Amino acid sequence: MIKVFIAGVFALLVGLLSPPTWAVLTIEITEGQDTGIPIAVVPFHFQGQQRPNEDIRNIVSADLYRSGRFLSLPPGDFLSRPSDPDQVRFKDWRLIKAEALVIGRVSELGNDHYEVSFYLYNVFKEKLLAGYRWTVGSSQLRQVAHQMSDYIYKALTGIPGAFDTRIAYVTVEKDSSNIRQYQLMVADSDGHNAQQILRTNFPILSPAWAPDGKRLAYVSFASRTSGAMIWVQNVETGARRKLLQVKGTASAPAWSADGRRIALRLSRDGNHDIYILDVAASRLTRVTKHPGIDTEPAWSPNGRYLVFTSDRSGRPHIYRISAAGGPAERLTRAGRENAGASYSPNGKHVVMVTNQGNGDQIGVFSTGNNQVKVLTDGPLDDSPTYSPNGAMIMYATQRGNQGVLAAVSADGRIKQILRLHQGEVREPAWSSWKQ
Amino acid sequence: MNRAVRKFGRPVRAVILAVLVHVAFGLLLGLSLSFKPQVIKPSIAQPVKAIVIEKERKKEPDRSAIAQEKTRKKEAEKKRKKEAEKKRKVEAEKKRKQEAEKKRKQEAEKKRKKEAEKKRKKEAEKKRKKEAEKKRKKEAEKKRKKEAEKKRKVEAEKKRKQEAEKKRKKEAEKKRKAKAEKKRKQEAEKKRKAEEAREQEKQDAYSALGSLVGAIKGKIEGNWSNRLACSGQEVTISVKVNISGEVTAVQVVGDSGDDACRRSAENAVYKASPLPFPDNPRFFKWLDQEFQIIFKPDI
Amino acid sequence: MRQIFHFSLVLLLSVVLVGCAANKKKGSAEVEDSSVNLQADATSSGLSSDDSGSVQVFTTTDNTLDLEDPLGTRVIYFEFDSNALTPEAQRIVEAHAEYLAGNPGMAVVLEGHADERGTREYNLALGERRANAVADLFQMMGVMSDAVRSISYGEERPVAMEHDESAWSLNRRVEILY
Repeated sequence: MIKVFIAGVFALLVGLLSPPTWAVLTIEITEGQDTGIPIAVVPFHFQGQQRPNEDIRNIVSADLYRSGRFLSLPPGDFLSRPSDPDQVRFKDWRLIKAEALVIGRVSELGNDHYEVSFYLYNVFKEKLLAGYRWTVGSSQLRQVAHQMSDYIYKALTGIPGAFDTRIAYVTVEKDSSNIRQYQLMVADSDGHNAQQILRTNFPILSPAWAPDGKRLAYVSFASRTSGAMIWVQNVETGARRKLLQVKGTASAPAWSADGRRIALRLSRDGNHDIYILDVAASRLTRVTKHPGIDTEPAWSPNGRYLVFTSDRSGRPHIYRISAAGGPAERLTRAGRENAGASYSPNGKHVVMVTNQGNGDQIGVFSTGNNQVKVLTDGPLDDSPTYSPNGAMIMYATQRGNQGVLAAVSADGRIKQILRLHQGEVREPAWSSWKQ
Repeated sequence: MNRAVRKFGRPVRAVILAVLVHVAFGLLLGLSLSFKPQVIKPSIAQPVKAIVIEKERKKEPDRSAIAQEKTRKKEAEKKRKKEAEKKRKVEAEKKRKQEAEKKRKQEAEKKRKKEAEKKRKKEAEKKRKKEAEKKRKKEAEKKRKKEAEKKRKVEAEKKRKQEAEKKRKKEAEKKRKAKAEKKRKQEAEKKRKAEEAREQEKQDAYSALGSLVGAIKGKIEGNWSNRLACSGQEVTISVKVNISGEVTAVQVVGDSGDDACRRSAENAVYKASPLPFPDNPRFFKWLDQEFQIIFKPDI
Repeated sequence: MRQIFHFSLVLLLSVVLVGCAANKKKGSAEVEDSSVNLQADATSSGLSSDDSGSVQVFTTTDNTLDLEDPLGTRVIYFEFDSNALTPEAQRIVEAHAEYLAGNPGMAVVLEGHADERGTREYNLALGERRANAVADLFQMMGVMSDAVRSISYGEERPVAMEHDESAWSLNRRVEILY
């Protein structure tokens, strides 16, 4: 603060010492509250007999809060509750220092259908920023709320929202016979509407969304004498098939952005190396050939490179290689171990699991300077996955000795635990936008 | 000139006149010769036809030698007679002239005597006049002197009075000047003090604003909820306030900052209103009601 | 009379066996007690109830329960991030190799595991490496390759659930399953 004051006084003195046409007083502001945009989401007005189960306003408010970019003001502080544009008195919202205002209505149309509409305002400029209307069945109300959150997010941050997206994850529970049951689940990005895709006694790992959002690739075991294998399953129909028939084990599937290729790890000749499968042609191409463990390939958004984990230097670190093969370039130097890397959607950053002496933490480095920024506390954090707008990273962590999922904003400032399941939760994978 | 006229009479006069004329002409000639030559534009020279006159005259008298002799004798007689006449005339003239001269002399003597008398009378008169004049002058002188004395006295008095006056005036002037000086000094002092006071007021105003810069910063920082929107960017906002510190105008300056960043900065200012600002009207008039805020997060 | 004696002996033995089984606590198993370990801890190795295979239980028919016998040891342990066989591990593996080489009808599954640190995929590969290390030694010692199956579960099937080195050291293992 003192530094700030001195800077201000200095600026003032500079202004005073200037010749007759002295410069305008200039104050430099570098600090802030970082609470996020204060937004007032007014409880929606309901018109009808039967209120739907889903409270659109609460879903939107929770979405915005979870993103870390907003401070959702408590309705108890609101001086009025408009639901129509002509009811809005901007003074009421200036007084509580709301920078943005959302008002809306839900109307029962009968036959389990509803009309939902909202308006978004810039309070201090008294300007309408967005307004939309939907007509949907009650089962789609949550999705409408997430779409609404996406519009609001985009209007106020300039970045597309990622609320109307899905996540896949693995849960582990002990059944009545005390045997571990694994489930592959798909849910909304906030954890609601969870559906079981697969259930097995064998471990499930590495779920990976196809870019079309309709299929999931994952790793599991066919029998107790068979090693890891990759399956691809249609999420809607449940139909699934083994991706390959190979000697040895296969795991770590990763779809290219165009969905035509899957990078994976094979141990065909006893060596763990990266391969690329051309899905349509069923043709395998070897990318790495090294006695060390090469695994966990991830595509660059332009499809030209793969980052992967390799312990060829003695400990696992992140390497980069052209998808066409060639020399591998080591990307991480710092830290004891680095693994599980993937690119951000704009290709400018790489997120990974890093051990800098404090256990396993989630770290990010920019492809420009390779300097690692640690985002989480650890010590047992794993499986980071970017939201499709690159604003958030979901990952697996431990809370109270139990595996849970958490989300951290890409700059590391806001963290949230997702309350999803009774048992252990791990291995999140964030889908792309719905197509 | 008059004497010469009396002695020689008219012919002499004529000769003199003739001589004078000749002299005059000679002078004129000389003078004309001494002038710079006039530029004369040459006209086309016409060949002059020379007429030989001498040859023709020579041809005439050559009839007979006798006639020639006759004529010559006649001529000589004529000449002789003429000469005699001339001589006689000259003698007569001489005599006449002598007579005239005598008369003239007598006349002149008479005149001279008359003149002398006149002159003597004149002289006497002159003398008398002179005496009278002298006396008068003396008297006048006396009077004058008296007058002068009087005058001098008066003058002296006047002068003395003048001097006194002058002195007094000087004194008065001095006093006045001193007073004026004092007044001027007082005025200057007053002005200086007023100027100082104004300057001080201005400094106080700036220092009042300066002491509030920290508070202004603090309030805006306290209301900048969304620094992340300006990550890696900066935006400049021009802010106008009224005397109560209420923000009356908010304007983005320049091109920097995307929409979300600009909005976050504008909102920070709106929410921070009213800003801490010197509300003393004495200060307010010195201050630019408009100032600029640069939002540049260190994240 | 002799029948009663034999029956009692068998009963006594059974009681002892069952008693030992009941007393065994998960996660605190000592390395020598591996046979009982295998029976009781069926969930961690998926022996008792999975969809495909039948349950196989090893019984020491020809030896009495000898805690010093390396062949009685079915688990070998590894250092962090390593698939190198310790001398102790080597001793155990060689014993099994000898046994298998001498009993060509026997088949074995080598299950590789890793502790929870690091990513799951990397640990999956590490576990496989560990199993392969044992399989390589088997092969060197004359065991037929088709008698040996190497698989890995990475960190997915730990025997010790705590988040400390004592648990982790128990999870970094290869299990030799007949």
